Amino acid sequence: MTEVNKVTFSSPAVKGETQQECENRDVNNDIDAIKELGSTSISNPKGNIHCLTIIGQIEGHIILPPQNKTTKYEHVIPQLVAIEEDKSIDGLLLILNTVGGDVEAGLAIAEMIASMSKPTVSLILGGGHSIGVPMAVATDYSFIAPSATMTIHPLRLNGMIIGVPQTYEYFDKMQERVVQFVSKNSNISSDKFRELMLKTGELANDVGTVLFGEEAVNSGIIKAVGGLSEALKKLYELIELKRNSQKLLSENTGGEIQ
Amino acid sequence: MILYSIIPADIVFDGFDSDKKNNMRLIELEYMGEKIQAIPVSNGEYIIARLLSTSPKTYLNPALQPGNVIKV
Repeated sequence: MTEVNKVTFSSPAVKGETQQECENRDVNNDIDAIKELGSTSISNPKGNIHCLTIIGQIEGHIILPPQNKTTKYEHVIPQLVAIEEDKSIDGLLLILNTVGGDVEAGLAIAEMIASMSKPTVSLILGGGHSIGVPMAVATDYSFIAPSATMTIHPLRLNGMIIGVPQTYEYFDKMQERVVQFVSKNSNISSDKFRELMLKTGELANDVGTVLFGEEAVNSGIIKAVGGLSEALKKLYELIELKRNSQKLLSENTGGEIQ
Repeated sequence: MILYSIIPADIVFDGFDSDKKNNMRLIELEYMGEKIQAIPVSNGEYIIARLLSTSPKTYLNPALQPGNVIKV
């Protein structure tokens, strides 16, 4: 180890310990932390971010056959809790490339992200279809790649369907959950979203609409067209904004919040 | 369960009640303190298929690159 680039730590030396021994102890502690906890003390001054990728089918109550690539509810929910709770994490980047999936699981993840206090930014690459739409709008700010698409279409019931009017009512209620969530968390009205959902003549064998990057922004669902650098820039901007407001708050309360 | 997806339900649920494709199933395990999904190869050996961490640093660890053969 060269002396020139060596970083010295300012922990107090234990009585009778030489400077060299003290430094060795610090280095060992750091290595132990990396080994045992998988954590490093190196941090990004702009804020530490974590990235959650949502790919394939959203898997909820039923384990899907292995030909499906899935994002599992039980993996994602604890990760979101950990990100919200961990003081060393400042923001979350959500990368979406999903073909849809379980309504309940998708809405649960979307609600979790929407209720997080830390800054969140989403980026749709490839596709953010069906239940991917509420997940994309759940973040504080949303981006879509120019070549990415979003398919907005009605829910379908699978399994045994009883041919009674109540079936339609139940179905309509389920669909309303998605419509309400999207209109609450983005700039599109519920009427406009429902209109896109029920449009005919756009999809080959289904009712609904396909929105390209730019179109998704124009419709008000997504905030901006962009890629990774734009999404990261926005996330760091939101982190900075949050830090400033916290600083202001602690000054106003006489520095009670440290 | 209501499936809200652009993939038709019969493709998603294909093979749902047969276990002939079960050898494709990924095993979840913990390796070097990280939760991973892996393909079992032989006794105690696995190929890393996917990391489940959200920390970007985990993905830079050479020991955790997908495709690596690990012994657990």
